Amino acid sequence: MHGYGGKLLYVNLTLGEVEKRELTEEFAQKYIGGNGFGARLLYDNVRTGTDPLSPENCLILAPGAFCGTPVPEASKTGFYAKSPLTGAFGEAMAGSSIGAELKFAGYDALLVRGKAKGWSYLWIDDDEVSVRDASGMLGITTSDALEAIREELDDPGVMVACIGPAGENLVKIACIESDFRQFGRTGLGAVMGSKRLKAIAVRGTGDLKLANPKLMEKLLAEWYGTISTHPHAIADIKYGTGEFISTVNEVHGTFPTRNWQDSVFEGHRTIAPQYWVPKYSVKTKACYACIKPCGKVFVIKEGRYAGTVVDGPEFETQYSLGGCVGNPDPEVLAKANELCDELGLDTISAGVAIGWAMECYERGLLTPKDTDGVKLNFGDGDAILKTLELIAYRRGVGDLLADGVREASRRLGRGSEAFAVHVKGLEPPAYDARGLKGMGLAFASSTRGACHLRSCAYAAELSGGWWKFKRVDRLSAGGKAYVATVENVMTLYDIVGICKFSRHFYFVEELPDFFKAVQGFTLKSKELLKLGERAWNLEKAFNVREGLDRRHDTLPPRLMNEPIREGSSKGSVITREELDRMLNDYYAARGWDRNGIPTRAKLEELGLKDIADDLKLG
Amino acid sequence: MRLLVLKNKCTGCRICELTCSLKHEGVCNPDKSRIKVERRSVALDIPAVCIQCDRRFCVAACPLGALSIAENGAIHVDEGLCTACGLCQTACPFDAISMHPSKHVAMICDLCGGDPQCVKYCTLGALKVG
Repeated sequence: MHGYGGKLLYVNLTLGEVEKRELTEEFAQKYIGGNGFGARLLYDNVRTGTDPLSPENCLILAPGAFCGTPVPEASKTGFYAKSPLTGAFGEAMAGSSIGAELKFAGYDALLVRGKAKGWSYLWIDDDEVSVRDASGMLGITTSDALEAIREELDDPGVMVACIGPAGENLVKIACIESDFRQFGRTGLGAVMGSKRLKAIAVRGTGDLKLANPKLMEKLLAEWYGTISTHPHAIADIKYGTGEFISTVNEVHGTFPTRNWQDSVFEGHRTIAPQYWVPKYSVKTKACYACIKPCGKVFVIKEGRYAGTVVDGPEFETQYSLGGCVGNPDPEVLAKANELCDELGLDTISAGVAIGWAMECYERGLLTPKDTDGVKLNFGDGDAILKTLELIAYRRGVGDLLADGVREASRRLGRGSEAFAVHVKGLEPPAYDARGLKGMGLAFASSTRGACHLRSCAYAAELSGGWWKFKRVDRLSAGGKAYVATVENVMTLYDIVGICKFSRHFYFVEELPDFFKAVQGFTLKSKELLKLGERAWNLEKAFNVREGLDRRHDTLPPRLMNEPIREGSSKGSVITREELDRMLNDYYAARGWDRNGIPTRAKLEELGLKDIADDLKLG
Repeated sequence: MRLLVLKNKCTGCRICELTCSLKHEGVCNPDKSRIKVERRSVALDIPAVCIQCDRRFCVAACPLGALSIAENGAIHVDEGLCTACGLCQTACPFDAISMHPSKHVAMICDLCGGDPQCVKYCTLGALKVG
């Protein structure tokens, strides 16, 4: 088969067994790769009710179907598992080169189950797969782990995905770090830690054959011209992903601030890349095969934080460790970002957790006695940095926050649930849904909890339209059924591994050519959308099997009870009626029942009769 | 014709490796690319490729006369003569030579016959023709 490594790799750490299975043409054509493989393999391999941190949970690594080819921006690779943070479908994606490397080694997905006897790392050296001792690497940071593994294997070309201390300590907001990018969301670093797996190291030297190399050369030449001159690409290259931070503050008033109490951050100018890029950035950095690099390497040369070197902070981190914790200091922001990357914490969840703790502190629900003397006031840089460490090592108040805001507020109680901002347990990204109501629906409907990337609905909401959807009114709950379609499109991106920031140039209509060049598949745009829809329904089915339904497709109380206090979205809130209306429209567009459960007819239409049977749908 | 490498501008995307191997070998495989990029740290991506240097250490080092200078200035590898002994690789101060993993001959940039693919798709201009 063209465009594929050709095998699926199964590793059982308990038994020390390695099994290679052929990737069948039928499986490849139906699920394509990336998220499609991840969703199907997770459904098939993790039983209902599995404790996410038990050996029975599986950790799946699946590169997008275009990874390893020069399709511009195709590097996105996903980790999949049952999430310890949400108890539901867990997914985290990043543009790491480990995806391409895995395919060069001959594998289109890796599935790890069980638990190693002692701390280990998995070494995939083309055909040779072994589990190696990592006891000497315990407690070390992610960049040190990368260096230690490359040194031990004596090969600087080895690609590594690893956890930091946070993942080792089963912090439920821990990420997996790879190639200086982060598989951030849903706490999959803790799943890796629960398996006593410090790292996965891959070296692949095989050929990835394309169905039509000449067509690929032609497409590359065409798209290079389009992308490199596109205004969005030029802006991203200059300032990274946060170039619109002033706009979302001043024009939209939807930049969540101080744990979502405010929606305009008065300190946005100094955490904006327009301020810090000229001052601190030394280099522009790309994900694998990306020709519109948005990574800005931030270096602090003097002062308190001298020696800080970090790729970022990108937009979501400008929010989570900036606005959300009331921090206007770009140096604190960069240092906090570096700490998260090195300790292995998701910046979004960590920032929101600290924001919640700061609100608790200011309301007197947490006192200096609870916080080891740390003064958790909004904007206090020392408090932010100290708390990140406490979380990673589960010490003091960090132990409370390490399980995410849902669990932390349950434990603390005393009314703190009312301002714990999460959906299905996942802390949200930088879009105040009260002023971007389609994002409210997208937060509620997303299979992994509050997420911007599963739908990218913010693009349509912020600019009034995207792709074929025009006249999107961000302050209205009407006309939001489009979210179902954009979820399918974005899931398609996750299947092929194209970056979401390509949405300005690659629309669904452009992808069939790439399929012709890479896999040789002939697929029409409509069939492509079905691929996204199939994977989304599989993820949903995973959640339904875990007992999730309409009740879980909801929003945090703050977004439904407290109107935005100031700025251009002042007064806006998502009422229960509005959420219900959006959910009704959405479920109808998806062909699901009013309880948010996929129907047998829909699943059969998508070729998922076995799933309908498994769920015992009528 | 010469390749110029401005390593500060390299973003580490490695699309040059893919286009190179696709052009020369018809497959995607960084190990079969004439240019190689190593990401050593968060701030350091180092592209290594033949820059058609004046001294031509590789030509001097080859005991079999398998390396010569082509008309466009690129090193030409006579694959019939080359035994992949690796002496050219050792001699090259630019780490620009590697051994083909299956054909067992030296791989050195041939400037794609005058239209280097790597330069064509280098977004920030880390690679240039000089």
